[in-house]
Amino acid sequence: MLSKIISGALTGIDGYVVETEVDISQGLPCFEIVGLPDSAVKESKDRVRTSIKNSGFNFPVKRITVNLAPANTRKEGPSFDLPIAIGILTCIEEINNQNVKGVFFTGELSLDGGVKPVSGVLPLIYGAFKSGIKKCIVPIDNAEEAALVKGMEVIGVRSLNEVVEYFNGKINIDATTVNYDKLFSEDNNFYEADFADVKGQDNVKRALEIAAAGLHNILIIGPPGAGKTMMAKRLPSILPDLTFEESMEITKIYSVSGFLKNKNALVKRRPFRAPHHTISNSAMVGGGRIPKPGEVSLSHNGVLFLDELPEFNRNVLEELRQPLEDRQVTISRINGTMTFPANLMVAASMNPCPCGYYGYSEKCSCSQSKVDKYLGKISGPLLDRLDIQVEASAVNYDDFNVSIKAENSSTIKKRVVAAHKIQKERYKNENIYFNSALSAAQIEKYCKLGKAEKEIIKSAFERLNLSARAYHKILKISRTIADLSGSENIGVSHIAEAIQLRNLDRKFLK
Amino acid sequence: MYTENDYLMWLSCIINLGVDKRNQLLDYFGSAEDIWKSDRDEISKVINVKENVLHTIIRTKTNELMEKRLSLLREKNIQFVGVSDILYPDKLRVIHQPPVGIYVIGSIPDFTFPSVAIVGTRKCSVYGKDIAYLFARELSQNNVIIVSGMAEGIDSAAHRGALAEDNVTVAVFGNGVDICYPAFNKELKEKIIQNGCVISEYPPGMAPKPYHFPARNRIISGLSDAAVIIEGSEKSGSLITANHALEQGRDVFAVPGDITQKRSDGPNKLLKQGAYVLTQTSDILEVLRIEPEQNNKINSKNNKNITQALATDEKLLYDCMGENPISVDELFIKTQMELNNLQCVLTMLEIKGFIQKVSGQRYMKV
Repeated sequence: MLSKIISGALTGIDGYVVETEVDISQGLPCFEIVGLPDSAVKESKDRVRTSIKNSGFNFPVKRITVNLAPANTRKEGPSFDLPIAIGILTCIEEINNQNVKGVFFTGELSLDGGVKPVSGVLPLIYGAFKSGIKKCIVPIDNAEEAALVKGMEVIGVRSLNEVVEYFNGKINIDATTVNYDKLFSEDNNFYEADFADVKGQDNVKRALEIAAAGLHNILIIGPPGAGKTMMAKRLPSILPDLTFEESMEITKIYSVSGFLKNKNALVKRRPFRAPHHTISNSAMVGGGRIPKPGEVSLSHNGVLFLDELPEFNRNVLEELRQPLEDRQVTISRINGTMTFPANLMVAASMNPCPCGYYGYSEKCSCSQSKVDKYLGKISGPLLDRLDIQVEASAVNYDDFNVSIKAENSSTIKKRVVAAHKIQKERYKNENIYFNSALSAAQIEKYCKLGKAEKEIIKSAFERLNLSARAYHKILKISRTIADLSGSENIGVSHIAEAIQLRNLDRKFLK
Repeated sequence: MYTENDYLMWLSCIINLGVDKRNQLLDYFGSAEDIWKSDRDEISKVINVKENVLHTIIRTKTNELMEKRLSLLREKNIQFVGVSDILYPDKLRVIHQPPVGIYVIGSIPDFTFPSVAIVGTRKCSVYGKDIAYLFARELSQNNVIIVSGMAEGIDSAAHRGALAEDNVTVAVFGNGVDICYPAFNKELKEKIIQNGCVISEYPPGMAPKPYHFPARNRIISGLSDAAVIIEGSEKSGSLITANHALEQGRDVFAVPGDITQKRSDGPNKLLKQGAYVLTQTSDILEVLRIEPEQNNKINSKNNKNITQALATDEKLLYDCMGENPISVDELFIKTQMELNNLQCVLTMLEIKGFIQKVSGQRYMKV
């Protein structure tokens, strides 16, 4: 007797359909799983046998063969427990074969017959939906996440018994649904951190606003306690709200990584990831025997904050170069090559020298070679990708007492959103969305300068010690500043302001 | 067949022979040529040195070695100036234990012009570096030669100040002039050679050794009419320079420093002992009796003329700034200008050369 149950597996963050074929035939009792299972899948034999027994069914004393088709891809994790059990129960006719036709199953079994949540449900269900499946049985804790796929009938279950009774018509389980409008409308103001809390440091705030408007990567340099981290943490609060598509992309990644809890099925806030500087290569860009997304993908559509940039392992920082350029990261391992999205904005902070006070306080007596060595930890090519380099000044006691009311995040956000709109319109025929992604040729096209503007950039280079690589960066930043002010052409004032945002080119740390 | 200069070069190359012994030999024999021509017994009568040193003296007296050394100097473009040479600075000749000769890359400036040594610690503050630069610049405008040691920190800043005014500056090394130490000052060394020279009493190829530097410092002070000590701890090389200067009868200036900082101990101690207090360039000019060149002085820039050339915004901002750096945040609060406009005006002022950006997002008048 043969039965076929539909289930799924993941490659990267995409799900594909796996047919779980179960055959029970005469012969010596044994239980085999074929189709490149990993150890967690192999172990499911014991879980399946025990949970079927403990749910009150007879486990067949026959030769059982399970095949996971396609048989040439590696399958991992416990999500095949439920489909295998259903397959066996269908074979021994506890469930009618016709009822489970076209139904997708996923879930881990516990020994008492309970169904436990698994990771990666959203991409699994989405993959199934794309191949034409309209109904799925998932663990109750994953139900809401699965229900994000529009048009899919999602049945959340608690135990194996419940599944059998449901298919035999003894009980009725309502399909789980998600109200998208409600999901998106409720508590939109979920960023506890607001720019209104930041006193002083107006130039850094302005730089962050420009960075957010053009999705420029930003480096904040300053002494300890200047509020670098505090300000960077507030960056997501001035970025535009996530669209549904963006939100889905992030949710998929988080689902695969197992970071989703039922309460927040959909990731609604922009990710802000701040990995510690001891992070390893594969934790940063993704990796593992079966590749999993790293921090760059977990900050997809959000902000990756690298505190104390020079303290990071140099290799880790160099690995960042390719994802920042390609907006995605490709990882090759023995089990396959996977591509994860990595459309992120990097915010980094650093001290000007090992003690942190170079140029800010008389406390510092770091020698020039020490300072050079510290700054040298960040390679030129990486620095090249950090468009904006701004210095935060040391905070005085007086700064806490200023009566000037700081702008709150939502006011800044409005300007950023407007700038994003302008860029979207301008680049509708290009394959880019933001000024930061402009190529050299596109800069020629979109950052046209008048005579006065050319003049100022020329004299700036002559007088201010600017390095050659600064030229294009200044034009890109000027473009964003012009967009923020709503002007079509780049003006002298925009360029002049942009020059102030390229501090490391200016070599006065020497 | 060799000149006296060449024989002096030979004398300067003998290792393990102290400068005092060299001068003793010169005093006794009258010229380096006569030392070359004398024999072992005669030399051992004059100076009391170990057997191996005597051996070196005799062994190195070969034409072959001499030719080799001379061609090396030509190849590396190094000039050797012996103590008897007319090019040898008189200021240096009169000190106690002058070097028997100096190796030079570049051209030796005319030391009849006033010269000032500006020295200080390598572990200096940014403030120390700034004022070293400033004093060097202002002295340069009065045609004062700036002498220093090209070490990192104060020394480098002093050289840079002189170079900024396209003035003559001299760096004295504790190693061979063909070696750049510290290595990251390669660019600076080239610039110094273009505008002045680098000097050392050590033959080319000699690596920097810790004990070279105190000896080097006597040349720095010896080449100068006055020594300026910016920052340095009580036992730093700068104090050695100051002591040499005193012994050589040169004026010593010290910049008063923060009494809580170790690097101020040196200058403050000198001040207690009676060194001149240096708070402005004219302090030095007065003592050295140099007529200040009025029209060139940085501070005497006509304020009125500057402000006339500026737009209203620029004038407002410029007036808020002083000689001390002020952060952009403070300017923002003071001027109440829009931040983007403020940043823009700052760039304009910078490009026009009226203000200068320093580390920490701070600005000051030039």
